[in-house]
Amino acid sequence: MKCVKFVTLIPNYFEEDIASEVKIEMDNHISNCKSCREKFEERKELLDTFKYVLTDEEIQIKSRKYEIINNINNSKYTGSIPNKTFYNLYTKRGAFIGVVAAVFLMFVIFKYGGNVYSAANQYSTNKTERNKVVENVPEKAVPAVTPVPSSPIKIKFNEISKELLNPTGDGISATVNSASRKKLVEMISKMKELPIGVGPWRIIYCNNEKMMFYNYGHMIAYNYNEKEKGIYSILAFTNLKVGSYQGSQIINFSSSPDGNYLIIGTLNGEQNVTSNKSLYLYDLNNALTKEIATNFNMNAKNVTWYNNVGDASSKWVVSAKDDKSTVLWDVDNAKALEKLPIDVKEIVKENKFLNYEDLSFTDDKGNITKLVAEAYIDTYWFKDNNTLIAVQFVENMENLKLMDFQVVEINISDKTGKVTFRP
Amino acid sequence: VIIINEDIDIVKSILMGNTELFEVIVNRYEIGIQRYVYNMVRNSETSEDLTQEVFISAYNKLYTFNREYKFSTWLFQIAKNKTIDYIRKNKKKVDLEYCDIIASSVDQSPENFVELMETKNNIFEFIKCLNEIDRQILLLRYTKNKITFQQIALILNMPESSVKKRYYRIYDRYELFINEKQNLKTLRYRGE
Repeated sequence: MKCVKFVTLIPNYFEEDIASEVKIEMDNHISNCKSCREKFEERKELLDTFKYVLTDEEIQIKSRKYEIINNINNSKYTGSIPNKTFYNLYTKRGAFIGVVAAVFLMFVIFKYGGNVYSAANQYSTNKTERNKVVENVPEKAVPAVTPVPSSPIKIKFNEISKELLNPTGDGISATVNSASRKKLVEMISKMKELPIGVGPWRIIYCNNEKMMFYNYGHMIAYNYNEKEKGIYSILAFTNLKVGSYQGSQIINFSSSPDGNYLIIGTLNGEQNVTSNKSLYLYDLNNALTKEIATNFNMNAKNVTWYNNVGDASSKWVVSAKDDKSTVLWDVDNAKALEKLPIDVKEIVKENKFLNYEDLSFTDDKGNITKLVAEAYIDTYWFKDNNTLIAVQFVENMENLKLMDFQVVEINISDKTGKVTFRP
Repeated sequence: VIIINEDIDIVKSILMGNTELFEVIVNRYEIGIQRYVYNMVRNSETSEDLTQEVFISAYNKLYTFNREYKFSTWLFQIAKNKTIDYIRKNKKKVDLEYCDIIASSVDQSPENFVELMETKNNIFEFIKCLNEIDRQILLLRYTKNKITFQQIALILNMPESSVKKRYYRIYDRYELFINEKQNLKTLRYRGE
């Protein structure tokens, strides 16, 4: 067993959530590998602490066993607690109701003769009422509102041709021209072969028709507009000087508000350390990457998109700032600028901010929406007040390939401020 | 003499009229339920009261228990609902205090004791910050009555795979939480 695999399986080991063969393999590995042993011990210590604090440590609670028993015994025959008779009545309610009905019917027939039809009607009301008394519904586990997902867009990449709705059925958006389409299909089939292990899909940006998401290996741009549904761009990071698997360097993105361009760079957590990473501008529609700065420490917060005043066409000017320099780039003319043109203004993207701690959202007006989401990664997009877009992992973790994900559109109607949803 | 081991047999027998057997159930689960409730409300008296209510409620509704499930699953489900109800109703009163723990039971040096108290506070503070589902998953996992992932999934009415995924993520979050706390401390120390 390799160390990488060992480390990912440590949590499962302690919860006995692995096959016995794997456990034996792990036990063997541990006796031979010092660094893994240390990680293993660390985890053990953490779990022991939790166990001690939450289970083992003595706390001052008295047993109230006798009080409980007394309470039950005292009220045993007062009617609120089911005794033997009541239980028997319940288990034999079919017979009981039958007898009641028979007696009732006989009585009715006897008294009213031919008017059986209305009597039968009366009987049926009686039956429902009786059931109400006996069949107490057990308390429900989840009290919250459960919104229904509205028309989820599901893509499972091993069944791509079957499930996608676009004309060619290859998973590519109709807006992509044939040459690029061929390339994208090739990339997808390559990605399909890759195993998982490059982190979850996270959303970079999403507007009302386009969505971009990434893991540590690739960026995928997806158009979920009904007519143009499909992938319109894929970028592999292998040939770019961005990101890192180690340390605190992480890949960072900023998208133009129209979803046509992407600034890609690396956020180096430690300041004053020279970054050997570059800053790139990626044209999503034409799949062109341009290195616009070197040794750049990019933080998406410090990237601003400008557009011509009163001109809706995407003639973008983008500025990116780190602690050493500022890059100003004219996207349309592909050249660096000395200073910001006077006829442009900053375009602010509409945003909701996610609070990772409790999965609540704060919008720019300060409204807070609380959300409890399962099986979703921590990034979402509110299409409007009732609709949420999310990238979802595929539930089955076995045989999971890199490309398996779902883009889900969920309708949430939030009345209590807390919503639980599951697809 | 019939020796009854399985919960389900005890329940059947109680429902047949042998109500005194409920004592076996109380023996088996009282401590587990108390601890689980206590970890949520952090108050001994409240957890004793709530535990009592759980058992009385369980007894009263025993005939509604669906025998396809494990009895403990059902019992913890009641405990969960009761406690959450209580917390909702007494939001202001349930201010998680850390002073409720017996100091004398810890037979350790003062340094170790302080360190332990800090860890304990960290863990409870962390639990307080978790969202409701994650909190339930964690606390249910740490009950004395060996609750499986499958049972947690039933109690919380969600897929088992999600329970696992969330459970494993909780520890990553805890480490993040501790790191951030450490960072804050350093900043404060430097006077920033």
